[in-house]
Amino acid sequence: MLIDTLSMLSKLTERLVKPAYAHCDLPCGVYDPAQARIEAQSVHEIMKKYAALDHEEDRWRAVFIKEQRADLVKQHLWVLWTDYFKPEHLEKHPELHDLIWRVTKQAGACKKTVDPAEGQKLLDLIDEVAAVFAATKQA
Amino acid sequence: MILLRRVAGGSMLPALRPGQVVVAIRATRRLVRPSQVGQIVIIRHDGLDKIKRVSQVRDDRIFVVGDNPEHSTDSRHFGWLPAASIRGRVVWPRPL
Repeated sequence: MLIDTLSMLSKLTERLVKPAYAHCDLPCGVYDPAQARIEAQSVHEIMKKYAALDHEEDRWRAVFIKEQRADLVKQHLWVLWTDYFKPEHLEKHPELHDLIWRVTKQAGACKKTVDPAEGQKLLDLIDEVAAVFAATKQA
Repeated sequence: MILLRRVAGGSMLPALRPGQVVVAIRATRRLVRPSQVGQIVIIRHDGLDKIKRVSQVRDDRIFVVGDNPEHSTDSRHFGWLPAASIRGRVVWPRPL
């Protein structure tokens, strides 16, 4: 009964009541493709070391960590893509959408394999993103 | 005595939804107690009323965190707050 009354009151006053912020501040504005590259380096190094691991537990763990790092690569690139890059960047670098698509695809490909060549492809693609990023900073 | 506030933002999900109105009892005591850990409070910080949950109490200071930590700016970023920054203790909806 009391709850019902309060619920009605809540609907009536919803628009009149002052806010209390359950918030997240504005984005910090710190962006750098180096973040994605460091995670990709981990992926690449794990691939190189995988074959030399003797114990099944170590191999299992290597694969597990490689998957996590590959996901972080995607995450960092998506943040750059959705938060950092602006329409004017895209005008000057029309290949950007396709590039981000290819590099995040490659991060996914790196989960399916322990072939270091795939890890190197990922690093090379991130370097292409880094080149676009650097160009936008100079503009 | 009573403080009404509308929740703005999603840092207290799932306990509190954005837009929801909460009822708080105005804080009169300027001391905090360990039993306040877990309570949802309205605090005054940086010129704004904010709503968070008390996660730790130490002497006369509190550490507040959002229930949805990935989408919350709270004591993890702005540090411990003096007990005096508490404006009210949320009593409805009944804190989970």
